[in-house]
Amino acid sequence: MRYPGCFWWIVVAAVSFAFRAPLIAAENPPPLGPWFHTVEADSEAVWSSDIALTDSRLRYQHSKDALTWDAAFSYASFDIDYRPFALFDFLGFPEHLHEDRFSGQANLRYEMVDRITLLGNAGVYDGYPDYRRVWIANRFRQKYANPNFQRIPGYADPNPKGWNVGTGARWEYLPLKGFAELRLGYAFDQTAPGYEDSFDAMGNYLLLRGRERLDTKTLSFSSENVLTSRLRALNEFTVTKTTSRELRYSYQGSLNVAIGPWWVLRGYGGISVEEPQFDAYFFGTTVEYEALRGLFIGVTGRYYKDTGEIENSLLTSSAAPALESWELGLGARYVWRRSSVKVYLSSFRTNYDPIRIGSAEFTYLYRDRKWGLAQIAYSLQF
Amino acid sequence: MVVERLLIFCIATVLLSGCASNRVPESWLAGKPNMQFSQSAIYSYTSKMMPQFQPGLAGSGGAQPSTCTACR
Repeated sequence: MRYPGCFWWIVVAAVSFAFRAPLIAAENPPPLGPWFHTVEADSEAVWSSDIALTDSRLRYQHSKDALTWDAAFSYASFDIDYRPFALFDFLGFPEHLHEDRFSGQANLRYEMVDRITLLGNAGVYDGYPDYRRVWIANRFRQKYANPNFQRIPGYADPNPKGWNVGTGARWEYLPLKGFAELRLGYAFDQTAPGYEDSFDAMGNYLLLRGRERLDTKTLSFSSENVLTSRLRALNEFTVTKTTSRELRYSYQGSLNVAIGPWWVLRGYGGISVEEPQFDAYFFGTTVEYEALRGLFIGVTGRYYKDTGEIENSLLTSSAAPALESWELGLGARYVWRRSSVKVYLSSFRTNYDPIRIGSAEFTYLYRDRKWGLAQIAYSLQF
Repeated sequence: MVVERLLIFCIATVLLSGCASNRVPESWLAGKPNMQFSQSAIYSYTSKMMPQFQPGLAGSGGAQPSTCTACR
């Protein structure tokens, strides 16, 4: 059977219209709010062949009149198949490590006068901040508190924890189009310190303990602008000062582009610089398409490169060598009335430069790895 | 005659669907939820775990990247 030339046009157009019609109707969606409460749960997992990490959060937000506040509780887990580098670590042994971190965070926003909002935040955590610290702390534990030998005087079991506070203001200097934000922050961290073998003036062995308590002060300024009806930009500058370190300067620029009614491109790029020798840069983009009403599908690509962490040790150092990393992921989000759900899956690599001789005992920590990343989030407004 | 009617129908249908974007007010675009810079996990496009792997990320300044203690 032969169809007229435009038959397939009709089919394509009809299918397209069937999908698009609800979107057209969504231009003026019926009022569903206002909602005063938001409950959000999200969870992330990252894994490689020998490391598995999770980070989950439950958050509640309340918004009414000029006041918005939220509180969140988070749980993170670290599971590592620890493996010593036998060439430099004769007494180390393989073992499975499991650590937890519990944390809480609260934020406050109060519009004190028209277009000026006060900001405040506070948080606390108990546990290791990241998987590398778990690995490094276990290396020192095996070396100085090895169960098969006498404990070395000067070694103390780590108890990492910390807290932070911050305040700031947000000024809407152009109604709905221009926002400037200034923030001040302070964080206290009790870290799991590093150790170094040394000798005192008499030539006796001495175990040197690294700095355990760190103070971090931050000053950040950001500007958010609606440049055109299709462009929204965010520029963020941050200066950070941590105990015994030089100032770190960071910049990140982000640009969101509405390519069309159903297409959004989100791009970002930034740098971090810290004397004497740490430089990092990164960029990435996400392209998102609203395939059906409320259903968004996105593709993400990211790239990161740095020159390696700064060493200031005498002999051994746990500093990471130069790193190059890239990521490719797929995501989907579905919004239905008061509920939203998001799923994101990606694969990324961390490729380090050859390890320096002073960091050789951390060879397996800084080996190249291929990681999987999964995110899931759910939000409900009422 | 039939071909002409089909042609008109095609054009009308395509205009109603493919060209529907022209009906969307442009000011609405920059205000879409996925055009915002949101802290919500639903509209977040980054991973909160990534600073563990990439210590130079702009948002990871401070004590967290000072994970090495014999280094800065």
